[in-house]
Amino acid sequence: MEHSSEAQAGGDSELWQVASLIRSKNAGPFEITIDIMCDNAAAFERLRNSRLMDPLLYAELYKTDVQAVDIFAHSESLAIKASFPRPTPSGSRTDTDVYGGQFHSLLVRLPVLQRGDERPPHRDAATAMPDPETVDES
Amino acid sequence: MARAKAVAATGMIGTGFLEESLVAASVGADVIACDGGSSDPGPYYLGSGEPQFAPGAIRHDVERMLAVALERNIPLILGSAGTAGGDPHVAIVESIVRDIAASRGWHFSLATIRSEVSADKIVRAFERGQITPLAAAPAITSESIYGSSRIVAMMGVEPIQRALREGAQVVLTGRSSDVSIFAAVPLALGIPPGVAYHAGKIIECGAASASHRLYPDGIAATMDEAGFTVEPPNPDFRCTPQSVASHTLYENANPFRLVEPGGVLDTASCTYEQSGPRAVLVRGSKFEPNPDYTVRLEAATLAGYRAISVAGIRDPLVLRQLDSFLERVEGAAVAKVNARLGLDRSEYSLRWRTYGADGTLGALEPTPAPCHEVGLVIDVVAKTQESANAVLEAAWYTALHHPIAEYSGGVSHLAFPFSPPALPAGPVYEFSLNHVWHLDDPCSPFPATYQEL
Repeated sequence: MEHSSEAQAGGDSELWQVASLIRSKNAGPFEITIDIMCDNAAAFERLRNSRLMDPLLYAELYKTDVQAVDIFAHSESLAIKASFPRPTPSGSRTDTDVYGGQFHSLLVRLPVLQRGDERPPHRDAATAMPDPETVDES
Repeated sequence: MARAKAVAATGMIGTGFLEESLVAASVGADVIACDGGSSDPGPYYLGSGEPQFAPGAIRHDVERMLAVALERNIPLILGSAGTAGGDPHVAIVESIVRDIAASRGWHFSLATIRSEVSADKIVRAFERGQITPLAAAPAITSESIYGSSRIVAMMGVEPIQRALREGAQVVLTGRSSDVSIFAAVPLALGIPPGVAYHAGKIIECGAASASHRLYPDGIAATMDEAGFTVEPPNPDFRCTPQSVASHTLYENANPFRLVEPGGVLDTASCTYEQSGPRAVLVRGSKFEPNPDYTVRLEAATLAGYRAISVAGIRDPLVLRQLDSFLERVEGAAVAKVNARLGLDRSEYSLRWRTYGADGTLGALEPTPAPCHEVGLVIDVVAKTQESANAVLEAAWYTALHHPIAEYSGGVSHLAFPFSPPALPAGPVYEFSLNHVWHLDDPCSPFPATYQEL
């Protein structure tokens, strides 16, 4: 898979085509934080206007209380950051990911609409993403 | 005008670094420091008293840090000893330091600052209302605190500054905040706390704040009253405004407000500019002091003993009914355990982790259908290792031969890569505090001992 310049310029794309890094990590043993980095200002602006800024997206994907989701747009590092409580503390009996390093995987193929584009995104049957209708305010 | 230079030898003691990088970075340095711990690798290390890294790896890094620091007469601060900073972890690293000094014939004054706290002390503070929860903290009681295997408090800069005032040349700490080991000396030299804490946060992972860190190595921050410049000594690495700014985000829930024991670092109005080919100047870091001084507490509690079995499943007839197959297997295994071992289902946990289906994300997995094969991890935690082993044996043996409707006659559904198919995995700990302790004296929980080596 390659980053396409067409995807960065506009049109519907998946998040990995717009961002330069998508990662998750523990923020202490009781919280997860997801960083979505860009390597150019246009991509950052596009993501800043996407549903990555909507707490409902994370609440649904990560089955957590929407009130517990914090989202930040950090323009100095061209990054969107979302933090929320872990489903279970790091390393507890029911945990599946001690470092929290794979929580971001649910976002990698997230459809990113061109701003103002009302068309529903193309959805690949093999990837289950949240129904945009349920998380997109538009 | 106050000036200070702090050097991070590498991101974590035990991961390695280039000696020439530390030699280059230490020119004009006021402190060399390196972190030795984290809660990232999970609760096991805090609970068990073992360090994550092998003693040989710790010794390798510490010996080379000591060589540079002693030759140039620069204070060396080794933080969060032995991964978790409990008394056994501190003792292991202290014995490594003593051993290096003896074998190399080096002489220096060593301060060792402990951070393990007794449950008694925490319960008394809890009952006085001096223990309060952080985000997503577990509910606690005096009884649950007494049940902890080990509790550590995370020190700020004050106990480190006290040890340096007492004349220590090398300071070994129990659990310390990531930035305190880098900020202690600059603060004492008159650098404003916003600058000192932010610089500490940027360099605490070593060269991780460079744009493409190829391997673990060190980094330096030069501070004055207006801001700080961060630059890797390694000519192969380069800091950019984005790489430095993005490190402010790393491992924190909130990138604009970073809570330290004595207040909050506010980075919201910071600017990051390229000030040299590989250097970045950061300005605008602020600090809001909080007179209510708090230290973070970490605790691990023994949850039982684990035994696991790893097996592959490739038969499409089993895979197409995987969930219901495993439910039937579990029902049969639980009945056997109850009949033969007298153990009730509530006395152990039994989990079927299905890699290739939903092993990584568990209940969060939106596409839990198995692919062409599944890696099964049967995970048992029980009150003793013997009962975990016994429950696991019933579980794997039942799964191996449990019938499915499509076949008549004997079957073997699990491909075990190992003999024996079951592995005892030892004690299981769980993090049991995510709280802060309100202190009158920032040094009181952190006793220091001094020795001349």
